Amino acid sequence: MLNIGIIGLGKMGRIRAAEIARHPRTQLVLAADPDPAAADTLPGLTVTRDWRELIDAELDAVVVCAPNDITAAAVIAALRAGRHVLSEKPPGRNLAEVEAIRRAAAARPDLKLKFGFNHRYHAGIREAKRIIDAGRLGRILWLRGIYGKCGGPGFEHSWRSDRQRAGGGILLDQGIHMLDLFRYFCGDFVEVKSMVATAHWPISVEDNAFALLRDPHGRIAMLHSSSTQWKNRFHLEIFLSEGYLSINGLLTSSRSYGDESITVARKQFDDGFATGKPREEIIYFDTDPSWELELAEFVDCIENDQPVRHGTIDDALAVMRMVYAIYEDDGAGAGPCRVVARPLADQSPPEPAHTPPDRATR
Amino acid sequence: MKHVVVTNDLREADIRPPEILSEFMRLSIAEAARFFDDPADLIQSDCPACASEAHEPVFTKHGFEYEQCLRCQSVFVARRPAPERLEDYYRNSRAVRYRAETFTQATGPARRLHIQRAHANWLGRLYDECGGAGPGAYADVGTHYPMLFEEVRGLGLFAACHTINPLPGLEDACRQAGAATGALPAPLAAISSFEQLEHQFSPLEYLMDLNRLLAPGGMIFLTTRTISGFDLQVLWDQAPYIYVPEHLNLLSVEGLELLFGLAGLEVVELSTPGQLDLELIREAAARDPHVRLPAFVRYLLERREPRTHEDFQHFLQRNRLSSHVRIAAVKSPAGEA
Ligand SMILES: [Zn+2]
Repeated sequence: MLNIGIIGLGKMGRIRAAEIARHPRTQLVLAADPDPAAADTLPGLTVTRDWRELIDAELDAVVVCAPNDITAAAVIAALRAGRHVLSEKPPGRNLAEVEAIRRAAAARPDLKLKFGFNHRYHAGIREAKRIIDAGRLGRILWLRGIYGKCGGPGFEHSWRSDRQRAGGGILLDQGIHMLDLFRYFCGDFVEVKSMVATAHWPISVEDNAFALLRDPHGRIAMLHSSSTQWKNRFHLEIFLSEGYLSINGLLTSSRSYGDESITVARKQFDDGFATGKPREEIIYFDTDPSWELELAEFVDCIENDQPVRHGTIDDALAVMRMVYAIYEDDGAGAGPCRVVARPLADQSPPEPAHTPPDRATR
Repeated sequence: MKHVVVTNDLREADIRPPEILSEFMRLSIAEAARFFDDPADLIQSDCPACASEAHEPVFTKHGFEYEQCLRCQSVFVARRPAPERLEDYYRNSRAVRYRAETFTQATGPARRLHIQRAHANWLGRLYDECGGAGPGAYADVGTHYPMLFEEVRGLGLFAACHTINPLPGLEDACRQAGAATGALPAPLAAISSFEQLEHQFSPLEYLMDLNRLLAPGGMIFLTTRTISGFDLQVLWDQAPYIYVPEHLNLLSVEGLELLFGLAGLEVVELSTPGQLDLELIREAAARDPHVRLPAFVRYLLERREPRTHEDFQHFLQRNRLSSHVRIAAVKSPAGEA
């Protein structure tokens, strides 16, 4: 039985806590959250205010579900204390933080470190991966992903909207999942073109990011990440030489992204069919196994000393490079980037790019 | 479990030309009266899906009484021809000969394009995902359309194709399409059974027989008509295309799930991707002025656009309410048949 502690009992922390309770070989023994009310959400569980106290406790593994300004420090401290770590995304606020995590992980190769890119475990994504790998639809030509949420009341006061605490906006918070999926299907990308904007919210980070990415084989992926998508949306199209897949919706606890489905069709040029209107099959899924599968893989890696398969530190670093390449190409610059809200009526010329665009995501 | 919705430009007339279909129905009904005229040959049956003994008469067609299961809502012929009588019919009746010689010939090309190819793609995709018996042999049971084998062979998934009990007269065409007709190499990796379950004397024994032919991890792909479907619920006893012996079993979606469980099969997909419910109702009403439709259905058919009909059909599929049902199942690890 693995004794696990959780840092952060917000929405993600409570989802993780429920999965840890469900898994037959894990138990949640301690949590940390600065909010005194957090303890009420999980009766019977000891909750400390300071996450550093949790690191010092007798634990096998630590699950980090804290705001971004704590993530890197908590992950590094847990690794140094000899704990396996499952951390929420993003893996840090910036590349420097993720590089620091990598150094800490390299010093402890005996420990497992996994980041929560749970979308890879969604039923629709798994189905897409199986279909693509089976090869019946040919080779991937291009991808187009839209991932957006509505922000919501008080969004401008959330830590997610505070550059100092979050490091970036919707792209770093949510769009990073879509970028991770692009990598999941295609591997690394080498070229980035982007535009990033703070179109609506009075916040210090971006609320919309548009990007075009190209991989070494010339395949192009297009991303729109948004926190002004007034109806929550997840949509990923993958077009191949012999057909296509389109994943729509994402099963979540609130169901606000709609039912999860994947449309599958073959290119159909035969006589007897209307051109450009092929027979489609739309597969609907009744459950979201992503949290359960993600935890199960983490536990399996620890118990059987297997390498982490999804959400490795290398995955985390690669996808963070994509995020920052998108920020940089827009001219906003790395580090504390300067995305400024500009009313549409303001016709003053945009600020010049102050950093030469670094098109390679390395 | 998951379920699937299909969009396609399928027309009833392409796969069941009206003149050929009505001649086939005429022969079927006439031959049923001839083959099953001795009441001593009829055997009383409980619900063929869930085995419940609680059922009650709902309508009579061509002298055969259909009953409905009070547990799973399946509709079935309670006093049904004995297995030997059915076998005799499917070997020797004029209806079956007409089917092989005329029906299959006339609709073969359209069915290959719209149905057999889709069946093969479905089979390939799900076997890629759930099949656990490797690249073994595949068999189709009760083959009506030999071109199916060319489509399945195109998947490159199975080492060999076989046909089991093809329609009499289609053996040569099956062999030409690449399917062996001789003894089966047991066990099989996959079995398909299209539009067969509805005329089995015992669907449970039928599925258990198929299950016994499968290797561990092997899969069954099956289609049939379900009484849960919109056209059958609306037309009920007025559905002209429901008759003995083709339709002894009109199992409900719920009944089918129970049946597969009883047969030791784990259902991985149960969908109703039918596209023709509204069209079937429209055709039935157009051909027979005595057919009575609910006011809403008549209004929908007569006054609304094809676009609305498409949306409605999509809704039926999405909610497993079309009468064409397809099921994919895996031989359970503990699936003792
Ligand atoms: Zn029943």
